[in-house]
Amino acid sequence: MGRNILSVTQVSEYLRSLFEDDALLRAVFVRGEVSNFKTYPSGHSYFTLKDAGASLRCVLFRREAAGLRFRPENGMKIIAFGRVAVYPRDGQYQLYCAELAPDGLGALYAAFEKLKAKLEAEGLFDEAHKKPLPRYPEKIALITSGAGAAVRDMLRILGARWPAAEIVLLPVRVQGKEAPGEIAAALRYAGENRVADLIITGRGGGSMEDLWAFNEEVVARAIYDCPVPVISAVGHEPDVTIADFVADLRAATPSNGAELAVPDRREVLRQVSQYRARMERAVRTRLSDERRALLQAKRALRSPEAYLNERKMQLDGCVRRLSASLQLALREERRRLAGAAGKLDAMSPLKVLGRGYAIATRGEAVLRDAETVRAGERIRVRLLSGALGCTVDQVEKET
Amino acid sequence: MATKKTDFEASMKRLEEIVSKLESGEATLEESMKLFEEGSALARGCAAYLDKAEQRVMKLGLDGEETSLEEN
Repeated sequence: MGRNILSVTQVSEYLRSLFEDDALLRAVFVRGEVSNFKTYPSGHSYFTLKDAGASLRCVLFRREAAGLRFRPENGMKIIAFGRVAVYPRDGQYQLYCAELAPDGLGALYAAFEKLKAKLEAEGLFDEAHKKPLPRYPEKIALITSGAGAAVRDMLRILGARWPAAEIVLLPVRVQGKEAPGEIAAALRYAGENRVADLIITGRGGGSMEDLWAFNEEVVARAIYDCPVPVISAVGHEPDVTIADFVADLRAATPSNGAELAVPDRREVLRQVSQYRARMERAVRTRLSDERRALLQAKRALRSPEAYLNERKMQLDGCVRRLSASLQLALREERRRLAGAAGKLDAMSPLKVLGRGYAIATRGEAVLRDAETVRAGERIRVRLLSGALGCTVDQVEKET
Repeated sequence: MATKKTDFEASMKRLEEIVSKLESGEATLEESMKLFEEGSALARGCAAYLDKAEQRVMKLGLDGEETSLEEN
């Protein structure tokens, strides 16, 4: 004791670096059962993975949780992928999960991701390849199971919304080994023979294995190659299949697929009667405009003299108003001129002379200072009336 | 078939055209009356198509054999 004492932090740091340098702990798959699963308002989730002999604390941050395609629940067997690291504050180690998958489905998930990446790279999901759906389909092909709730729901909704569309049902198996081949064959048949102008393919909800046919490459390629637009309508809202990515339109469920396929008859009927009302209004307005124009023309024709007189009176009125306004402007100008003349008069030098002042000049210059004048010089003094020629006797300086 | 417009769609489109032409007042009176007649006939036709429609369901085997299912 005493020779090599470390602080708690130092020990933690040491362990942390050991964990970080370990290749296995940096990227590990762990199989176990979920317990104490809890999601906090921050969006981060914490849980424990257990098996018969041990437990492991796990963290699933919000960003990773958002990418999950299932909801982890207590008791569920899962495979978690992530890194095991030390959390120094609590003196704990835990698994920081990057991905979770239900145990047993791991292989399916991997196959799904692999096929998705491959087809995406090939351009099978490109928006540019997606075909527009007909606005008012006349014939709709359903490629789904002939029995079950999905086909019943679709027929009911299509019948209620747009009974004008004829339905062609191509019954296929939608799960099991035969399903992908049957679905693909039906898609090819419907496309080649143009049995419809729109296709809906799908099935009702189920487990990931149940829906698997719609994740098969043959189905994806048959949808992509189909010259008729295809809606995929598989499972429930959160289920996503490869068929959804390739299809021209993805529906959340079979019912939703039927709703997206056709407009609502009542809305279209409303639209038609609106068109009708607008046409009638436009024509009625047009007719009454024409009638008014006609009446006017008729009046002018019946009595051209009265028409001309009326026009002449209008003209006279205009002239009268014009000259009245001109006179008003003229009066105003005159008033302004008189005001200006009065101001000018007050400034006149004659007015000053009238009060008894005189102006002395020598030559042209007006005299203001006695000192500029010498005795004997001739100056001129201007009075109000007349002027005096003077000789200066004496200059008196100002004291 | 996927690209060809259906008759109903063509009728709706023509009806829409006629409405905006009439509202713009560009057409002569005589043209307007003709358009109105054409539009009224289209509207009648479209409404009748929707009113009378009853769903027909056929079952189609891949051998091309058709069977009629019960009408909904």
